[in-house]
Amino acid sequence: MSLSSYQNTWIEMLMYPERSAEILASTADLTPAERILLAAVSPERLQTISKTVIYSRISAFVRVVPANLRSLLPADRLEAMARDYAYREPLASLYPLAQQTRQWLDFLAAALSAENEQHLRDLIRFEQLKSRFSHYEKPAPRQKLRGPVLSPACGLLLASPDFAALLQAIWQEQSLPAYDNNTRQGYLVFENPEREVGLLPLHWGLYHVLQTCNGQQSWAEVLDAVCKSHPELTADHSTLCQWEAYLRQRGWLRDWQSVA
Amino acid sequence: MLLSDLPIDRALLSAACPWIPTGPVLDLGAGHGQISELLQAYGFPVTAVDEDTRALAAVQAAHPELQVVECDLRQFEIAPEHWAAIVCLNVTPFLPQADVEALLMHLAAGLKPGGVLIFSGFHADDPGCAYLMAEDAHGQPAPTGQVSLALLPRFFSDWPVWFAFEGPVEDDHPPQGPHRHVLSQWIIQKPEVPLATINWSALPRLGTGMGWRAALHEEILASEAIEFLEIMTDDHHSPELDQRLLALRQRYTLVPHGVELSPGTPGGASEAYLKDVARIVARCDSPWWSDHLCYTHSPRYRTHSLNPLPPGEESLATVLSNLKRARQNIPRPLLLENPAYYAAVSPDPLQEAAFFKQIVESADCGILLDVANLMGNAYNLGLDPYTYFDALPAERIVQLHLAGGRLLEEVLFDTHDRPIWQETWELLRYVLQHSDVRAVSLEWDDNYEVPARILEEVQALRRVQRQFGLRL
Repeated sequence: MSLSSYQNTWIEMLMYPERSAEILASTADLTPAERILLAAVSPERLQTISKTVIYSRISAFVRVVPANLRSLLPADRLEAMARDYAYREPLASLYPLAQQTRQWLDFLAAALSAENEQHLRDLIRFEQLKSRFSHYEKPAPRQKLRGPVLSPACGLLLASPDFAALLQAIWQEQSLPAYDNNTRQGYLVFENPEREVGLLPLHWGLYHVLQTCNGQQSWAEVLDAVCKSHPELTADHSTLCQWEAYLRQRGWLRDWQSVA
Repeated sequence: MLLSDLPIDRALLSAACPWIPTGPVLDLGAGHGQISELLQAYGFPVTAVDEDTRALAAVQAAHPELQVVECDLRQFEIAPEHWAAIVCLNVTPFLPQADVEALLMHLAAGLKPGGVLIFSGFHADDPGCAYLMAEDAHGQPAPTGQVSLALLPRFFSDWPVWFAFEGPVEDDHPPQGPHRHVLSQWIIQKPEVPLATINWSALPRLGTGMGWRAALHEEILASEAIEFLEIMTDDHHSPELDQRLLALRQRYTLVPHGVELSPGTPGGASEAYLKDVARIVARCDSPWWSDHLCYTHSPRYRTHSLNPLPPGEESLATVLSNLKRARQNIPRPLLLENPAYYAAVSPDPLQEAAFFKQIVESADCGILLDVANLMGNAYNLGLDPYTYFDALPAERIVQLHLAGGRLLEEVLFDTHDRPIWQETWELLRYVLQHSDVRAVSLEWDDNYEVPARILEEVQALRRVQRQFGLRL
């Protein structure tokens, strides 16, 4: 118990060096020797160490922000948000990287709340989706499903109709296009085995069908259910039905899941 | 054993590549070479064996880099503990039952510890089993060889089963057209050999290296000074990065170096973390792996810093317990590195050296001595680095780290972004004189603008290392 207390106390002193004496005084579970050691660190030295240790944590969060997003956020603003995150989530880690980065990006998306920052929020959702893509998995039994699910190398995104143009502009380092903050367009985002990411704008009915695919119903059953709740899609029924073959052929749908 | 509803297919094998350890792969009964091609394209050296002359010629023409062997697979000598993976898909129908069982024994012996067997054969319910599809050693027709999952405990009793399937499979190939098979399939891993007491003086000599950094990739590949590479374990947890590691491994000895093991944290690293590290260590096929004697997190806080531990009974018990779990999961020698100290964690720095010694000897670990940290700690804490070094068990010092630090408000920080300090060079010479290190590497983590300057540091390290007689 004493070792945990020592570690908690030392890190807390580094996080709040200006309150170090108070922190030390309020910690009961330390040996006298540990207390003497911690008290022996001068306030100036503690400040200096704190700056470096805290900076190292903040810069770790900044480093994992995807380059697309970093290119649009002023460095000092991003650093301030990373600092805020580091303090609000003192146990936030970067392992496993993809999962932990998603939590940090959720925090960023919530912090970017201004209306004219919709493009940043869309970009964050896009990056979060990408971070889930995987082409590899340890061999494990495969359970057959009743119907299709999206493969782990693709996912659905709801973003502005201008999102594809935004991405192009970022990738080609051009000025950003006008961005419709209010209209929403469904996309299928996918990554091929060469790790090239693509964006397929979807008919809104197809977006709903794909969103409903959970492996429990066949494509036809999903389609019928979606058309029932959106009767205006009935005219598109046969077209939407044909999409299944194409999506399967591209490897974006599958009928099984791994059960490790 | 949980059975799969679906059989092995190309997609499953493609997705499995990061879990196949580094080493040669054998495709027995390669046929038209689809699986050989897939594994070769990922980066494994593949040997394709088949007796179909025309199929093999086509495979060789399409993939000149593949090693092909034309023979009856009963004539192919499977060297013991040589193969990282053996793929043997549906060749057993052509072998009599006795030969099938002999083959299973050869496959078990031929895989190296940690190696993976990917196997498929006809089950007794397969329609083919009613025919004489096999040939005996004299070329006479014989009953089709059969397998079943019931053979697993007999031939592979303690092997972890990753995947097992037994059931009907639809097939469609000429001249039969659409037809049905009943197959038994498995993907299993040969158990690793537990780590025995380590003979530290028998570890290989790797020479001079540096930490691989993406920003310096091209320069590293072009440099002749670099004899091995250290990779950041914690940057490679995603299997999506495995292929890059495998490519580096084809060219260099790789040593994984981590920062998140945190042996000083009560409870230590998670099982999932240790399993990821084990996969990376297997990919690097490294003679050792390393992390720091420190804690990166406490129950309430996580830092991205390597915080030194206060010597004491509780620290000792915590570290030993965590290292025992690490050793069980990752059966390769572990080196512990001395972290940078910016404030004292004990009244007497020599107490820390004694603590370090006690840990490495009790846990049977080696030492990765960061000479720059030792010099920095001397500066920051006012200790004599030479006395500290003399208190360490020299025979366990396997690797050295060198780096440059940055002075900030009278504290020397281990920033890895400057040339090595002159005093550190002097300490390095002393360390080399008084130990028998196997590897020396440079850490450089920022300010990559002048790569030639960074690589010159590696060259200089190599010169000093040679001067003190490091044999390779």
